[in-house]
Amino acid sequence: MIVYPGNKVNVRFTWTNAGSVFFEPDFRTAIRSSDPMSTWIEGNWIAAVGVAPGESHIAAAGDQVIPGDWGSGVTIDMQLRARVEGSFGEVVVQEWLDVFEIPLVEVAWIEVVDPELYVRE
Amino acid sequence: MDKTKTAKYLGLAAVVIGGGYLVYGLFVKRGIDLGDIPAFRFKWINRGPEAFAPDFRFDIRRRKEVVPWIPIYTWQEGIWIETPAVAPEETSEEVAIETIPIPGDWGEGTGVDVKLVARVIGALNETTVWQQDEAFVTKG
Repeated sequence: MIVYPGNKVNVRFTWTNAGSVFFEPDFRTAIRSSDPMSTWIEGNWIAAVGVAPGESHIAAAGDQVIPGDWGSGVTIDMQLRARVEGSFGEVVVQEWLDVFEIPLVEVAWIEVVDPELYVRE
Repeated sequence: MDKTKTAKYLGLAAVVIGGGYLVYGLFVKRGIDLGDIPAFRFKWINRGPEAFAPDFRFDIRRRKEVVPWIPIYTWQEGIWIETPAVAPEETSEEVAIETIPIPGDWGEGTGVDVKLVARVIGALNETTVWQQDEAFVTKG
């Protein structure tokens, strides 16, 4: 999926409570670029609607903005993470590798035509 | 055409050209006052396989030595402007860009080089895509 720096990315998903008690998880996304030095950039937690055991619900995590300094040709991984009330940890519930891509473009592709120099009046 | 008429026509042409330009041999330089702002209009063609929207910057530098025989040619940078994306093999709309005013301490008769610099999304490097040396000469 093609994206550009400054674009917002997100994930919409359906989750099922496969446990035995009702609960309300929080979700967030994390993204990183294919640059070897890149680390995960974490989004804000978004509280999901609680679901009873065996039930499902459609949810979305918070938007993430593609950083302006991620260069052309970069691919982007995304994680969906969850936490539950009272826990300090978080769990990666889904991961997509190279799910987004900033197109590779080159300045060398620019051919200047009709150049005209002038002095601003 | 006799030599007298030829000389008159050449003289007339020199007067017309001299109104806006200073002629030095084969090079034509546009005269510019100190404090005036050089500007540039152009279009560009995307010769690549992907649509993209480059940023452009227009820079100037002096050609006159600050100290005789010691050239100091440092580029003075304009500001980046964003332009709309252009599809492969398409031509952009006309882009107009300005740079900084000619510094007041450059003095009379200073040659001014200009260059157009481009960068693409997210890239930290930049590349000169068009340049003209001694495009202007400062007037007194």
